[in-house]
Amino acid sequence: MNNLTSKNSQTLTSSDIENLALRFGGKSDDYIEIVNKQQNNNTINKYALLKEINNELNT
Amino acid sequence: MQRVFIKGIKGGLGSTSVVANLACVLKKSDVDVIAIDLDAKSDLGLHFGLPWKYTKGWSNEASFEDALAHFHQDNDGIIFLPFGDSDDTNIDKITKIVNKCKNLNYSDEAWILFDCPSHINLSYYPLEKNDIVIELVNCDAICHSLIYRRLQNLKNSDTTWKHYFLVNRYNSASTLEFDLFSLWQSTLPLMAPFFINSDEVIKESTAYRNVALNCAPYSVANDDFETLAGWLVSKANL
Amino acid sequence: MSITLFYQRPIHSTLYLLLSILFTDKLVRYILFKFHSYFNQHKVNVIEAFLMPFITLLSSLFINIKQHKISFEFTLYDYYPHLRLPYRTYIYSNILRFVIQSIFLVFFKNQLKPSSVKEDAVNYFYDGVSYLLRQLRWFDLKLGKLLKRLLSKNKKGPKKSAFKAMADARVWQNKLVKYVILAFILFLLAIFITIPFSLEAQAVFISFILLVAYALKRVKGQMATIVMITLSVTTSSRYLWWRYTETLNWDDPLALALGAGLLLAETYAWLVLILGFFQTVNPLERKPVPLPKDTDLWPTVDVYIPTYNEPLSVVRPTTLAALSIDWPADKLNVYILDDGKRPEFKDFAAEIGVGYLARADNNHAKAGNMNSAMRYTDGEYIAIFDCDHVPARSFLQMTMGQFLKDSKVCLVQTPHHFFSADPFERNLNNHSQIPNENMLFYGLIQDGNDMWDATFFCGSCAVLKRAALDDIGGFAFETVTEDAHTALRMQRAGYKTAYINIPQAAGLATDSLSAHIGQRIRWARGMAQIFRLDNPLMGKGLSIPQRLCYINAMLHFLSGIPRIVFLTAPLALIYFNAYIIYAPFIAIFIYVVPTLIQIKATNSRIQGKYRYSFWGEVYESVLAWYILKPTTVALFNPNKGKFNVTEKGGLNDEEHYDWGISKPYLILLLINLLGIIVGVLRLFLGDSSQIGVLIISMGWAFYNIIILGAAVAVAAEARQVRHSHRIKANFPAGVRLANGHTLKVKITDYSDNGVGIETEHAHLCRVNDKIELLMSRGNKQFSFTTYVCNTRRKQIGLTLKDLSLEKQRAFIQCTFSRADAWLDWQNNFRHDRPSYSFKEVQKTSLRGFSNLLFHAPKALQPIIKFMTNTVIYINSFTPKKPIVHNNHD
Repeated sequence: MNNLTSKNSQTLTSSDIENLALRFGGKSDDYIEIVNKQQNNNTINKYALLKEINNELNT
Repeated sequence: MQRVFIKGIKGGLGSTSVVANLACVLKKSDVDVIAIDLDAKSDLGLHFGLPWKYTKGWSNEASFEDALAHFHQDNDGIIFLPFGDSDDTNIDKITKIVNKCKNLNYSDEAWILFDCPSHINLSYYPLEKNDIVIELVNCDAICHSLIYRRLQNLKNSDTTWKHYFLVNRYNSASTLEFDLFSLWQSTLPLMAPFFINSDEVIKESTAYRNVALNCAPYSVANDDFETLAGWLVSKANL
Repeated sequence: MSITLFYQRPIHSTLYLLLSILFTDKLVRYILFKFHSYFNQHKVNVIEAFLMPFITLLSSLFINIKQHKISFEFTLYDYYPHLRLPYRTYIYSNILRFVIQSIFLVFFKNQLKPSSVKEDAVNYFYDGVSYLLRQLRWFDLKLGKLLKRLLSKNKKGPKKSAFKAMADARVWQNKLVKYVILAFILFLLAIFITIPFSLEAQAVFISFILLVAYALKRVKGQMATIVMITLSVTTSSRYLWWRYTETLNWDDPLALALGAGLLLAETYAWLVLILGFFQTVNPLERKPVPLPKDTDLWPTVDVYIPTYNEPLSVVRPTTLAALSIDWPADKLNVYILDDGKRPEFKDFAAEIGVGYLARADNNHAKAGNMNSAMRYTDGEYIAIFDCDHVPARSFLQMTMGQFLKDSKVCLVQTPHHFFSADPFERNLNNHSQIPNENMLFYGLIQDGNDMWDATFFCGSCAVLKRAALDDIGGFAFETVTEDAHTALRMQRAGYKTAYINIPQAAGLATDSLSAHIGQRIRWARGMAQIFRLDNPLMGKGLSIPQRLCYINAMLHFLSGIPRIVFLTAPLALIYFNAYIIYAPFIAIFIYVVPTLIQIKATNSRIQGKYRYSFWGEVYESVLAWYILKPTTVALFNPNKGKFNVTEKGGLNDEEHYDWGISKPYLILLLINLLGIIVGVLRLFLGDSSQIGVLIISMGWAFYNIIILGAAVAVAAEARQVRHSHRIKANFPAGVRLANGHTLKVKITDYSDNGVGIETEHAHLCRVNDKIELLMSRGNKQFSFTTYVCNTRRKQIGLTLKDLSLEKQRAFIQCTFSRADAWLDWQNNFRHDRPSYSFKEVQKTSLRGFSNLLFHAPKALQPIIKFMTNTVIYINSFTPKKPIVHNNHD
């Protein structure tokens, strides 16, 4: 199972932040991927079904 | 043995393909992989190249010891057990077989994957603390609704197992899929941080009686399954 | 032979008789037969016909004609490949070539002949020499490894750098002990430097030092570097002391004047060397500080993108990337500061949702622009990017931590990296083979400055603290290098600065040599202005190391005069017979050469990753003449001179030679060449006692010629073909073909609107296919519609057409803005090897000369053509190696 735990970075989901951390030290966990709250809101408001579900959940 | 239950949040989301391809990838690291078909459609065997004439499976036998005879092994060394063609799809039978599989004599590092039908509720399964459940979704609004219902469900019951959602057949060119996945990624705690890309080869490989890894080793879907396998390993060790 | 025949054919018979004296009967008959056949049948003229048999006979001495009779012509071609065809048209010159080649064939190695004793001897000689060289090299390797094992620090030793370990040792805590030890070290140094050695003693001393340097060649680690630095300081100081005390000729006023000039230049070089060692002895290599997990605690940042006359196509990627920096959206504000007040910029800003600031006037250029913007923005921090510097998405998270960790920090600077070739790299065609000019500063010097808290602001790719700027009254605008001056003021006010040596933005290099020189002139003038208006040596607020680092930065720009002196010094002896170094030849040799070798070795060790040996001289030579005047003017009158903006993004549409720019180098080159010729003449005709110094001077002049040749090569502007720059890359991506299949690919290069990919095995795409490109930014996948524009077996070139603004932004995020986009900037270069680097400079120099000839103005073309043709013609006479056919031809 060992060669599955250490993924080589040839897969599509390899991260540039990991590469950065690898080269210059620091942990890639320290990096915070910023959530685009504005875009999320736009998505919810755009589709009526999502909006309704969102409203229900927040009441 | 690490148990993984793979189920679609609704039907037709490609859970059997996911089981077959995941088994193939896990097998690459030379551990024992066992795949059990709990779905009455009994199509898991076809993914592993089981000849069409073999229709019998564990459901045709009364006892587990008799069911052992229906275990097959494919070319890659994966051991699988087809459902069979019995009409009796009693939920208790399924529960029983799940429990009996615990008695299989394999090492701690072996994987046992269950292909679960989408219509049977997870609460019926005898799930334990170390089990991993992967609920497959597609990026559309219906699944969005189903996810939230499931989340409410999970909140209300006490779940001991590790439950995750995984997006299958992802196509980032679609605006809806892209927007939905961005939303899910940032708001749903149980969403896996990756997805299985939509790839024609997954469909084609069953026509070739094989799995995607063997048919198109250079496809993106392969990478995705490897990512899935690696991620499962890390979750299993928690 | 009958008498009747004699009368019938008198010439023939006479010839026959004559020849019979020299040759046997058979040969004579052969000769005459051949003569008749050539003359009568082949219509060859008399002389040729007569000579041909002799030539054949002569060559039969070397070649067994019978054996090779059938393939005689082939054999002739093999042995004499340089005879011009057709043979008979150039019969006379061919005969000369034939004779020279024959002599050559007799005396030198000839594989087809059975080897004679002489050739065996030659073989053995060559084999022996190469064997000896191989043995030496093996020995050198073994010895090096042994020394490395003996002297290297134990791997398990502490990770702390040797310098820090020394500096933090407890022994320093006691002030008295510190001063005593310092005094003792200085005393020792003084002794070593000033004690006069006899020549033999000096020779021994210097050989010992060179031996130590050799021993440390392969030893890694900072301790060894510090030892080398100490040795260099000793030898160079010793050299300088010797020069001051023993080599000035007080009797000869001309020699004294010239010698003093050289001595001052050498003192300058020594000062820069010592300060340089001090500056770079321990690069800090600061690591980024992580930010708190709660983003509500993060400060607000304004991003300024000042622009004046650059096209929108250059500013667009920068702005899109700035918008996509990973920072909470409500705490990030991007502003375009447009001094050109262009409406299309305003529209663009409105379209993508960034701020647009324009002011009524254009006073004080960029500094004024930014000061004006500060009135309308209020972020706690200000990040500044030149309009062509595209930031990575991780820029702020890599830099802002320093501010939060230490509230006295007012500036965090990151390296300026260029994704396009600068004029040196483009015109010399060595992009990514040799570290470019600005790599020394950003890779090493700024990092060294950081150790002494002397990092200064470089105008772009940095973040400043708003409060600190307010404290000093905004950006400084009194000089043309307002960036360095601003940092100086902030440091005087008590703030600290930091440097993160991770490239997080990349931009365009200057696109022509003249623009490059213009930029350096501006920096030089600015530094001189700062020296006059806000002298770092005086005034309060700076620590001593900070002062020294600033002084070194300024001294660097004063290198104009010393460099010109070095380029012309040897000519003083050759032209004027002025002994500028008043010492016997052997003393010069023992003092100068080993010191230079030692210094070069130390510099190569310290700077090897960032600058290759001898290229620094080339860069300096290119700039020397041009920064002379502005710096001198600015030193005397700092307020004169205007700010000229460096142009970015222009296009060179045809290759040409910049004669205007290269005039100074050509003149210097010419006088050095003349010097060599004069020197050679004097060697043969002049006083024999001066041979030694003449040879040294000529050697130095020859070295100057090589350096100047390389400088000349730079002025040949290469053609810039592409509009959008193509950047090399190496990250994974995917494609989805029209039939739904996906392929894993690797992005090998990208530009504004195109991508080059490589597949793992042969693909089946054809030109004009439409395929979907899947690229990731972090954990988000984006899909781009692309069209195949060219293919090879495993590679595909894709173009993106008509991207929406959202897609453009996504594309920039997935390519230019990747956090690891520029990480390999230093890693592609091997460590410096001085001899190899010198060969490269030589090659460049030759290239420079050939460029001169190639690009000569029309009037001179005929002369050059004539000269080159003459040379080629003469060269055709030189003997060439015979062609050897392999058995499997």
